[in-house]
Amino acid sequence: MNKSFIFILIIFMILSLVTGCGSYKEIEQLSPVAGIAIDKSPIGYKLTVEIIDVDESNKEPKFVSLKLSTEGKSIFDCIRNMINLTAKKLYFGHTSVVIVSKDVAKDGIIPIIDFIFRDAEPRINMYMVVSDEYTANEILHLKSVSTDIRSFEIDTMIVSNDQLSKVPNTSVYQLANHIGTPGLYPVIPTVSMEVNEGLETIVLSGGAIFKQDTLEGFLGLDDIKCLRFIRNEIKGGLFIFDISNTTISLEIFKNKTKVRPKIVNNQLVMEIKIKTIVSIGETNGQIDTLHENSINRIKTIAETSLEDDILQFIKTIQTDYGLDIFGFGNIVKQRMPDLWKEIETNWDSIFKELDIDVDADIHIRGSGNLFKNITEKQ
Amino acid sequence: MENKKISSSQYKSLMVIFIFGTSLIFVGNIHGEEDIWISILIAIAMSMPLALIYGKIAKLFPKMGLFDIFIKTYGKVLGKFFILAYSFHFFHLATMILRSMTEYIQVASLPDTSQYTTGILIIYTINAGLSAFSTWAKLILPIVILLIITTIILGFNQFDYSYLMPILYNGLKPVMVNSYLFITFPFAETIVFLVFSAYADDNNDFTKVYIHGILIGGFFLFINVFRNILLLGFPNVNNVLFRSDFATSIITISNFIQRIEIIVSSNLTLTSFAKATTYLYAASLGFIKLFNIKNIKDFSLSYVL
Repeated sequence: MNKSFIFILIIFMILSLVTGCGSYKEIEQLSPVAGIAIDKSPIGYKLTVEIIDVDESNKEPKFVSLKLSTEGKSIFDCIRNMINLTAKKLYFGHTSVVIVSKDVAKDGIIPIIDFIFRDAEPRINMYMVVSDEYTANEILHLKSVSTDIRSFEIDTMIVSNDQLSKVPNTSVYQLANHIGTPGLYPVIPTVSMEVNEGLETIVLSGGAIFKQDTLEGFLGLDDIKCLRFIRNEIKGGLFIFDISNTTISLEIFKNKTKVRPKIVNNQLVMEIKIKTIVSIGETNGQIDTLHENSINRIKTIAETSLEDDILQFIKTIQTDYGLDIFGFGNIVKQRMPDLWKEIETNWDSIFKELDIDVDADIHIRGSGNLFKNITEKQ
Repeated sequence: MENKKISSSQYKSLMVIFIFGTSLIFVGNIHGEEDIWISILIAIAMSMPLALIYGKIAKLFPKMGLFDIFIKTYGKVLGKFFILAYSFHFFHLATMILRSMTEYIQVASLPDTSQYTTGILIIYTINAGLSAFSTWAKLILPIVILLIITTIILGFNQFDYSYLMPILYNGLKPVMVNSYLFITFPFAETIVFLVFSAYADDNNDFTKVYIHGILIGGFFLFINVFRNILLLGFPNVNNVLFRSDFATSIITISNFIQRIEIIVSSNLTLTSFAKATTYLYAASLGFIKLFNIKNIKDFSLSYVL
């Protein structure tokens, strides 16, 4: 072998040993942020972060959450000011939740969404929630019931709420879409504090209505269920109603809602068709599930009760807020683009007087394990 | 090495990758309307005549690259002027692509990456020759396509078809404007392949190569745009700079499969590297012709820098 070959070989061997990554970050030097709470402060924002820290003193490493807070003129300013507090660099790639206080929400949440989209680290499918309490950071400071990390708990609660359908499941990228879509106002989850079994814990408490990006009001848990029915977001949950003295809980398996605009007598009418497949989940009285007549009776009463609930809810929204949180305008735009071009500018006033036609179709699939009621001795 | 012939399938894969190029990420950076997917379809249809023209040119002047054709048709002086113009054009586009590619790397993942790293790779590829490069393209194309299909299958669950409605809300005009932009970039850009037509092997039908290349490339571009619209929705698609990256970052399957935007990153890096290399290669060939330099290797280094 000639010399130059060996020379090149040696160079390559050395090269392969001295490689490294550009702009690398040591995992020990990073503190992953699980959640952010944003409050108002005299300067601008007060930001509290929940950091996942690993407690290695025990044999098994344990995750503990640490809280830090800073103030700054902008969100990014707050985050950079954290450098004064910690030795480790905050890493936002795992952030799952942003809690916004009422005051911040009333001023507008676009700066926060802007940061989440613009920066490379935060992921746009995290959740943004509004704190029903006075400040957002006290939510982070509450004791955790089931997990160690507060923010991950909120995230999991929102995701698994599909089984309950009482909280809107709107992540940040959808929120950004809703803010920018004409004829649709966003609703995002709210959290508040509750004393449960002597512990102050955090609960999801419904939804917050936004007009563009400013907070307008709050909705309760059952309102959100109606909202999810109309928006075709029901994936599970219960529907509870009364027949005379009997309370029946129906378990929802599948739901499909179709909203279509219609012109009746030169008037725009929204036609809502709900198709639900349910099964009887629980009852506290005598119901006969073997005869078609009685099943049909349950069915009709359930249908009218659902229709009433939804109509009532829409009426309240129309009179109290006048904000089209159902996306009716957007549906008109999709189905009747020509009409939408005419009415787009005064949609808000049209929405307040909009006629709604609800038609629910509930299909009772079964009655669980029982085909007769469990009865007392005669 | 330079004299090795290139088969038509290699040309095709090179062309498909070239069409993907930066478009996989930047597609629709023009006025992103709801109907951008229609624009792509129209653009594919309208670039067919272009493909026929390019194919005819290649057939009329066998064994000749674009630069030879210039000299033959326009004479020495005017021909050289055209060579200069085209070489600068290619060079300019190459720098733009390099710029956007490194921009993406810097914004999306590694903010401190130097912009020269890819340049060094390109020098290496040009020196290795067109034959090696097109073989590489043939090797890499199935991977790129597979990755695109993967993202679509994984994201299928989260598609929201309501974003497609209403069709043609803003009328036909913006759609046509967009499709014109799509024709110029990336479909008509394939003229750069005429430069390499001198290296084709004997039974190479360029018309076929062009038509197949544009159809396959356009089809996957179309799918790609479709996916972005269905995942991101409006008006997000219009606001975000790197759509594909954001769209795939949304894909989550029960916390198990997530953060797969790295797929898009690798796709982009591969394809835009190929595109930049193609342009720079063509530009170096042009300058070689211009100054009568024998060996491309003497030239490429200074050129890329």
